[in-house]
Amino acid sequence: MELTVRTGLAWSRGHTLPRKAIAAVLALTALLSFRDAALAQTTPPADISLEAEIGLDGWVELSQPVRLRVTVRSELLFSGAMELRHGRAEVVTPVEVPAGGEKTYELLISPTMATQALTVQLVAAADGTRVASVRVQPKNPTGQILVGSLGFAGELDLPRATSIASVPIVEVRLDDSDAELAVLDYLVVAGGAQVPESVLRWVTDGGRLVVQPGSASALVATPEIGEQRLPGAYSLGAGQILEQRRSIPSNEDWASLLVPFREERHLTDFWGSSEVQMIRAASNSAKAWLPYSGTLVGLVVYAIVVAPVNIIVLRRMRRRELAWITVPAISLVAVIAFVVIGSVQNDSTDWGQATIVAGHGGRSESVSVVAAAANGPLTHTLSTDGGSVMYPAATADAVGAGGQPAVRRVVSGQQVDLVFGDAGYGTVAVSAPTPPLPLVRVEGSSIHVQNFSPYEFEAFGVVAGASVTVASGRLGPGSEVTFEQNGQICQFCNAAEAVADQTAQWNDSRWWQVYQPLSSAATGLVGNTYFFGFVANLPLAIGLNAKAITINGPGLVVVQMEAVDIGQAGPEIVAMSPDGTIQGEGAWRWLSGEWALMEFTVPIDRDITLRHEADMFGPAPAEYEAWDWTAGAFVSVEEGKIEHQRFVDPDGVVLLRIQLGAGENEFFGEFPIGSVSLTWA
Amino acid sequence: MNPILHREALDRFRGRRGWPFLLLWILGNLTAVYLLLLLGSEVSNQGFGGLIGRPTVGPFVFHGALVLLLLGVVMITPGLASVTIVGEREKQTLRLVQVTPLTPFQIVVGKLGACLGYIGWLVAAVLPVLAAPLLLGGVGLGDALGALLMLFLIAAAIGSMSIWLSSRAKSTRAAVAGSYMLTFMLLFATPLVAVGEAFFKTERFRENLEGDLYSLVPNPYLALGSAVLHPLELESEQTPFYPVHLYLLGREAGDNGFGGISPDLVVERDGHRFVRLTRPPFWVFSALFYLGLSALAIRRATRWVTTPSANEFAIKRRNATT
Repeated sequence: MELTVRTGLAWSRGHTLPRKAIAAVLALTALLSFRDAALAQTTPPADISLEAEIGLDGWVELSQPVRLRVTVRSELLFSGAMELRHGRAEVVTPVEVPAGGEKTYELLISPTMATQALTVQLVAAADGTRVASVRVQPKNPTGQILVGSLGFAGELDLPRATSIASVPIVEVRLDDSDAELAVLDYLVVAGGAQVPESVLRWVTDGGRLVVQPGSASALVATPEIGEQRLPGAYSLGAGQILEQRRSIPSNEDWASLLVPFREERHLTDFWGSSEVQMIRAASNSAKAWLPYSGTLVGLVVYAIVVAPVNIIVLRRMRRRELAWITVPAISLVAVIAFVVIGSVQNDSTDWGQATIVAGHGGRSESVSVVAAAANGPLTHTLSTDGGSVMYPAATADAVGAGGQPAVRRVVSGQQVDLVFGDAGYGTVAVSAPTPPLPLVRVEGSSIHVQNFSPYEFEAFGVVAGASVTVASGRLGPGSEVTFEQNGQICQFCNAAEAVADQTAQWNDSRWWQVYQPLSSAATGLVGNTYFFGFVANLPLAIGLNAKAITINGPGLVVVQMEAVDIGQAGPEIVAMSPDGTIQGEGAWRWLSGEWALMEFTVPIDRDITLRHEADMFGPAPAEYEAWDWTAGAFVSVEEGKIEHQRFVDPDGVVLLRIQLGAGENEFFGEFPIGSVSLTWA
Repeated sequence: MNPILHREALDRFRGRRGWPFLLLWILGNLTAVYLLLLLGSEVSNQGFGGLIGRPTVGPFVFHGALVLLLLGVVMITPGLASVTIVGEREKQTLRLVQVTPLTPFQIVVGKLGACLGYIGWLVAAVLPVLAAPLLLGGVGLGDALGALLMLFLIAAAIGSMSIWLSSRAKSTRAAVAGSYMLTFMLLFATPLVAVGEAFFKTERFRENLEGDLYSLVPNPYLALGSAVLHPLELESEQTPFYPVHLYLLGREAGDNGFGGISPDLVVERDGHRFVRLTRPPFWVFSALFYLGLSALAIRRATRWVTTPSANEFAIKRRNATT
């Protein structure tokens, strides 16, 4: 039997449709495949090298922008760009290295970008070829005590962990006192080493400097050094200068000198970080948006023209069949009109920003996040003056949100270009000089505020842990006011939620979409006890495409206060078990893990009571242990009054370790941080 | 011009219901797109919202409009195509057509062309509505063109299939019911079959799925989605084609939803990250399937519309006289 195979082409002999259809599919394939054409990869040449260094010996401080240094060496003249990618976010900076030369480039990046390994790539300008790449792994200081050593010939003989809570100690050797000290918990300087000005600034901002026995007194002689508070311990701004007990301390000396004291800097949940919350506020600061109002009218007019008008006219002409042509023709005209209008609108960009002005730890800062949304491809050059710093902020996809971020081209510390390849958004952060801040005084239960800032507060008050007091009325620049603390516990409240609650502004979305994230961000900056003032419009002046512009946006002014003035101390988490995590934002923060070490600052002359708010939707701690300063050990304690002499150190510090235990609540199995507090009469 | 197509084109607008239907069609699409816009704005306000969510609205509305248009094509095409030949037969006009000099192929292609022409005309009428998301950004003309071409292939396949059923059906009701049943099988039965295919390919879901699920190739939703999402990006917005994106990522890059994509397969361009394909795109398989299905259905329909032989007429005449 003869076997006959009939192909589609053979069958179609004499008929034209299959051939045309096959040709159409091939054309379709070619058309769509055209979009694949540029996806080929290229091979890098080998005469160029790249080195990258981040933070301090790889350690990065995640509460501020992180410095990345990249050194490029090239045998030949190289011109191109350095690319840094984090998720969909891309940061580029122009690079040019002479033949046989080397150049070091520094750029500030968002702390969110520095939470995971970064790949730095060099791309040639001529053909876009990737010529070199290097991977840099930032180190997270969470759960460890970083001790810098300056001026020593060798390594310090440090113990493996602190005596309090057994927190691991890591030594970082410094060659340069101008290094990024912010990430360090302690800095030990050698006997003969001069204490540079940069180190003293770091102490003022909250650092702890360890010096040889008797050396502190020499520093104390200078007028700017603070007072002696304990034998061998001096305060300077928000920091301390500590004298070693012996020239060559033993392991026990170090273990008792080095204690965990700074709040854990790395939230495992980056949604709750200050930077991410500020981006959320900036993104929502723009006016409510609903496009199409004009387009909708145009489309309705189109429908009327196409359907009744066109068809009726054709009927009167007795040429109804022409509708086959007229309808697509009118439609095509309308589409072309939309494309033209769309290309015009693609030049437009919407801007928003949110600002926090914060005074804390003896210093102040003003940080703004600018968000921009563009409909199509364009480039914006953003710049700021010499007194400010501009750097790429985090992008939404860093926390799993959608949207196409613009490429941020870092030209300098004062200029960033937003390059939109398509519709997308861009974010940059601006750190600007701080304006004068309000002065806040506490007298008994009264709070007196003098507004030296140039802003009018549309709502203001005081946050003290879980207690939020909202003052009535507004407070203009130069005004002063006295109000009483109400001392009421506001569960799950931050400042914005308390204001919305007390002023019945539940329906005003600003309080939820803009001020609420700003409040959460503020809590990350200044802790649990602070004055707050919401500003409806805190304008940010920047340069846009070489023109000076002002971007309007909401602001929040916060001033850190001493918990001892308020009557209630909320906890700061200073150490956690290795499996511990903190999640949530602002007042809504939850702990999980085996244990957590909390630090409280209380008055040294009052009776202190340990309280747990049972109705904060979380399990009670399995056990409380307080650090006995006289015995040098943790001792189990109960809720209620705690013994002053044993558990409160001369600085008013109480260290409480809580065993978290297993969560019992089905939905709130983790432990709410705000549910534990120390109070005093 | 094909005489059948010419006659159908002239007849199409003879009735008085022409323009009300067209007006309703355009306004219905406009309402749907506007509702999609409201929904997209609401979705974009989740998470970061505001300015950051704004650029995602355009793709959301465009993809949503395409899904609705696909549903429209899928619902209208069988209804139009399935009555073409059986309708002539019931009106007893098919024989008249058959005895004309037209070949059976010309008759079938003429009927199919008239049907697809009307579908194309309806799509053309709502093109401005579909083009409106271009104003929002994030959607290119290439995306729209690719989607329309794939829609045409889907309509052609469903139309051909319906005409084949129409050519062999004895009543309009049977032809319509059969056409809609086959169309719904393409839409809804293929995912169910794919689950079975995945069951066997993954050793009862114990292993990761690798390669294609061939039973999904005929599915119009996946075909349209894969054409629109080409070239495949690593990340996608939460649009109505998001499930297609997830499937394609798994197919092209072995991603099981946990970001396990080899860096070698990622190509960066203009701030976007694309997946470098290691096999032909999914939509190519679908396009070839629709083309093959159309050709096969036209061929089968042609056989059923073949002009009766002279002998057959003679036999029938003899039977009639006796």
